Amino acid sequence: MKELNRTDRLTIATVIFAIILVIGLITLKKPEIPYSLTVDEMAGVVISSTETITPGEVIAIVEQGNDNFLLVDVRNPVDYQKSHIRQSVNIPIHEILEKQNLKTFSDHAEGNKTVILYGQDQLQANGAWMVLKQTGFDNVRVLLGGFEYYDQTSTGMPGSATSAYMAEKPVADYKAILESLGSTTASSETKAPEPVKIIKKEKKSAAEGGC
Amino acid sequence: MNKKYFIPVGILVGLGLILVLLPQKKTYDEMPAEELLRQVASSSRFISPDAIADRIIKKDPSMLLIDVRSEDLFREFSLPGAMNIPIQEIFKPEQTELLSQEGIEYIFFSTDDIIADQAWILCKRKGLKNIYVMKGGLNEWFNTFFLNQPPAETASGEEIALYQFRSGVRQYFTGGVTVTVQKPAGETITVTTKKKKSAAEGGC
Repeated sequence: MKELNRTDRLTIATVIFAIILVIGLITLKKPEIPYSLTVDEMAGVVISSTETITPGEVIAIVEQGNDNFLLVDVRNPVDYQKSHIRQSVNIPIHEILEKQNLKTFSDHAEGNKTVILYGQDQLQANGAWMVLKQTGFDNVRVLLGGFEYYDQTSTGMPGSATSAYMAEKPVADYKAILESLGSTTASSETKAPEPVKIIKKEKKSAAEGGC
Repeated sequence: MNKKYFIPVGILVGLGLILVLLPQKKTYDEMPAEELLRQVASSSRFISPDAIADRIIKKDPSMLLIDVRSEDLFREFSLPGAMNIPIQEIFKPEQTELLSQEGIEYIFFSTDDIIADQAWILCKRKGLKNIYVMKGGLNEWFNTFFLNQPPAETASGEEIALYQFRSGVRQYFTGGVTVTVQKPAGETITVTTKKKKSAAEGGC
């Protein structure tokens, strides 16, 4: 009898252990929004940089009222209120993964429509694009130069034909700058240091005496 | 062997096998997308060229500059002390290991800050800590230290101090500060030994 009790207890303990393990596996926390690209795949996408759109193209889209595109302003509501691209909707960057916004993006993806993200500068929209791209949205593009540049070009300040909005383009030839600076410092005549004058102290004669 | 142990042992061994055979879910150790977005939306990852130059000059050992541009661009020009890890190679195991040492702050930079920021986002997703981005990249670096204009005469003291600091940085990096003093030829310094006064000369 005593022997049987021991076996029972052992079995019960094992079964409980097994149940806990199974429950743990089932309820293992899964990310709500899974990544669909690995970091290596994403690193490959990053360099190809075909996921952008130029200010000129966006100006054309806005003028035509082309509804194959959705313009999304990822800046904060205050900046959006001040001024924004016509036809754009405001989704602040920290809200782009909220359910109703994700639904907007996926609805546009199903309809083969493109979402164009823009921020104050290109960098701001770039972060939002990185997150959306990694979570599986292939229909998202970034406005080159951001709102700052767009605002200037659409009001006709700098020539929209220039490529000043291109990020990652060196502003100057660094090597040349360094060489020119290096050569000017080398060729500029350095003043020859004046010879050190040694003033010899005259020796007092013995007769001069002390005080 | 006692038969009564067979059932429990059988259950445990079976569970163990199931655990081993379960597909490995790699994505679980990565930062969730929501958290990643929160990090992306905050701008605390950016460090200004001024702060970086200051740390380079002070030879701060806890900072490592990572140039994420291509190898060719790196060879042509880079910042002093920078290491080259092109963005597509950043997830090779040896590079990832290098980027996860304790007590070192890694600062990514590229020509602008877009590619550096993309590298930062990917590394953050992989769970790397202590990583930062140089604000504006090399373009900003050159605008700050090499193409900067002297402040107006009405500028505040702070602006003038900043300009002086930046000019100093430029000199530091172009080697302008190392002025070598050449010894004039000829002219030898003769050392005259003072004769000892004789006791007769007397004092007071």
